Amino acid sequence: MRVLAIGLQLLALSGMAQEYGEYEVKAAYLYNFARFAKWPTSVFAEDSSLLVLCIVGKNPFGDALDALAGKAVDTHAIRIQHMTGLPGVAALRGCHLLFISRSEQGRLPQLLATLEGLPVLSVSDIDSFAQVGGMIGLVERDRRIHFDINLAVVQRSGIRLSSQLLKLARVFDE
Amino acid sequence: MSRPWSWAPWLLALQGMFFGVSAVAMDLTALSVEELMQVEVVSAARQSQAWSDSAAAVFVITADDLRRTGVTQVAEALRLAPGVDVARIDSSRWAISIRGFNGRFANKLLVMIDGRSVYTPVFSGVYWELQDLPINDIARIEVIRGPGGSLWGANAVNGVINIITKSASETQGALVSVTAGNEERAIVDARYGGKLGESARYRIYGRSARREGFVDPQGQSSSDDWTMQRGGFRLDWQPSARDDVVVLGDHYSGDMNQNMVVPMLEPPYNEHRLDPVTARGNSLQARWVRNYAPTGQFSLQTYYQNQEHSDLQQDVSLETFDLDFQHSFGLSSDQQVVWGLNYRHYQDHYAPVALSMVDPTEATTSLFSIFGQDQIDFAAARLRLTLGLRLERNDYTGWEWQPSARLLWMPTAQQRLWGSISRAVRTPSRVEEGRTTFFTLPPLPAFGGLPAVVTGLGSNAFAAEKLTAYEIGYRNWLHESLSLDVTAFYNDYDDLLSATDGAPYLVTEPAPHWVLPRYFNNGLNAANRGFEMAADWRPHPDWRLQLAYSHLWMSHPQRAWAPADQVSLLSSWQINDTLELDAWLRYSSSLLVQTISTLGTVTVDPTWGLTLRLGWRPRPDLELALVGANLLSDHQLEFVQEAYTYPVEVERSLYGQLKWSF
Repeated sequence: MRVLAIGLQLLALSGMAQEYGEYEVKAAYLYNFARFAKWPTSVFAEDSSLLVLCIVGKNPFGDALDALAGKAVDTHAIRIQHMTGLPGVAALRGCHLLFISRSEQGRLPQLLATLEGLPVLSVSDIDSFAQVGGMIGLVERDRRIHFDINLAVVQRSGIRLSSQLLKLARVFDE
Repeated sequence: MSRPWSWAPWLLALQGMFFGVSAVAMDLTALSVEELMQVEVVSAARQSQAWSDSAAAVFVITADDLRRTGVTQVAEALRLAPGVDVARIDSSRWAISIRGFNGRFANKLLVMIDGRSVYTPVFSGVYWELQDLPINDIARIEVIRGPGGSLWGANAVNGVINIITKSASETQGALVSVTAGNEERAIVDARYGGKLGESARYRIYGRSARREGFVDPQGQSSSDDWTMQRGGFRLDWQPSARDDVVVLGDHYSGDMNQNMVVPMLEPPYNEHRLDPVTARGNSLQARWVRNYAPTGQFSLQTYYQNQEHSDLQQDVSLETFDLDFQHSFGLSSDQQVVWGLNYRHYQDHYAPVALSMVDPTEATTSLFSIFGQDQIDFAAARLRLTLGLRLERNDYTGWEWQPSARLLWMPTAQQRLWGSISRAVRTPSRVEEGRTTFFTLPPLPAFGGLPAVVTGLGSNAFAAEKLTAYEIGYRNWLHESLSLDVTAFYNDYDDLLSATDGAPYLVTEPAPHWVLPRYFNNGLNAANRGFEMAADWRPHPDWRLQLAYSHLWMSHPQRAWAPADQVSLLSSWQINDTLELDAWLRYSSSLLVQTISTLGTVTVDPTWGLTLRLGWRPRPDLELALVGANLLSDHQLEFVQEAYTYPVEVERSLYGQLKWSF
């Protein structure tokens, strides 16, 4: 649901011509990725199961993710979960969507190895994320956020991404 | 005896119009992927939020700040913001202003909750004790220092405070919160949020608060305990992808005990009384926003509210109806325009009380205004000029104009430099025209041994108070973990309220006494200048420090009633995944309050305040906290009411909080 602007926005009119915070936009992307992804049916026990968005590493979103916490994708309400340390397979299985913060760059190889084959949609803005084996990489070009998709990795996980999403992305096939 | 009259409890301002509904922000999650790919972003280094590009002195208190300070009332949270002067008069009364001219009846600060004005024309100010919202339901508090008249209308002279509650979608499920302690005796909040079909969410809530009274300077109980009950709902409905509808309603009921020293014609000529105050009110508000184009939006808002307030100074009932329209659109890729219309209607009834009477007892008044603002980007969007003007017609002084010009320079992604010149007015109200207020002086030789009743008399010649403000500010996101915001201002006030003495005359009923009439006029000019600083530093990912410092020079400190220096330092430390330790230190230098009482001018000594909070979240759905507030003294004086003065000191407060969501 759109925020009804009251108060300060009048001082800094922020229509579409206006710039937004990098992570406000990235949070909105996460929401859209969840909407355009189809997880294997086994992932959700029932219609009312939560869709869990995990963040590993330092949270760069500020309160931008709070806006997602009240939303739902189909029948699944979104829940935000912050993870600390290097999560194992069991913990990651509890996630549907995983955002890997830039703070985890050093541990990225281990993380991606753990994630291999799991039905967890991995997203990150670490450089070349999709090229090195992540699923969706967020990249900034010309002050706008675009995204790369590593289709082979996505397909191995059993997750299906809508063609609408694929046609807007820069797609890598390993 | 003809020096300027120093306070104005009976002077009300005709309510400011306000414009809380902006036309322009957008929730990015409502955009399609294609649209998202067109959105320009700014680097995270400067924690981008709409306000960071405003050419105004802005401070935002977030929901997390509210939690970490452990406050149980909105008024107390405002101490975090630079330039805001928060002083507690007693358990249930606050004096809150920005950049001076504070008082129980501070009349130059506009306050809105979700775009509904709670600045009351009953006394030209805000009954802070009645704005006792559930803290958990507040999304943020926006504090704008400096004039906001061109956008929000009259009475946004020294600043504007916007209290924004969470949307219903952010408050789904059930939440129960209980606070109990020696001063915060029992505060219970309960709320439930659910869905209505696919496109609407709602929440209902209730709050009951019982608070203990404080003590007088000798440490004796001042018996000023009070209770507030509140309940309400919010509905957020998105009937289509481009429409948003919000409906809000609430009811409150408060019973306060407030100490007053009441004048009498017989010895000892004044009497200490505990005034049982009752206040009741309801509001119903609806807002519809249509996003008809990426840069185009209409909004239509209406609200109705009624309030009844009964104490020794006032016994009044007031109904307010407000209708507000706004339209914003991109004139070109470099220009964003917003304009709007507002109409407000007041109907009041004053019953005579011991300390004042209003003539006539009933009246209907209205306000109409139109405003426009153009925001122009140039020099490759590094410079932004914002020109605004509001014309407002009120029933007392006719048309008032409130222009503003603001320039913002964005030399780098991390820096903002801005300056502004703006004009704002505080409009008088019916009570300033027709209220008579009484105070007694004990017999003096000059009165031939008879008591004298000082009688404040309103006048229909009273004009609006005016401010021209010059501000300059600088923001720098020095580093991902450190930001700095500095503002300096010069406030030039004209036609402030003052009074001149009329010829005394003798009255024999009900007992022989002199009447000393004082006629209100616009005889005072004043100037305040100062600077404010806010710093936000995260030395470690788990540790955050927020510092606010402000300094104020006052041309008439005996009139402005504000401390010269104020400091607030909040340290929020995340010990581990479940434990938080927060410390909040505050300092306020001494101040003067010129009272209409036998106490004369009261000097309030410097105050130090310390709040400590230990929070524990053993499970995601459960939060426990122990809070100690005002820890540095058993009790201390922060302020005194400017009339009928009875000093009350704020006590140390210890309480526990439990929050459970399910």
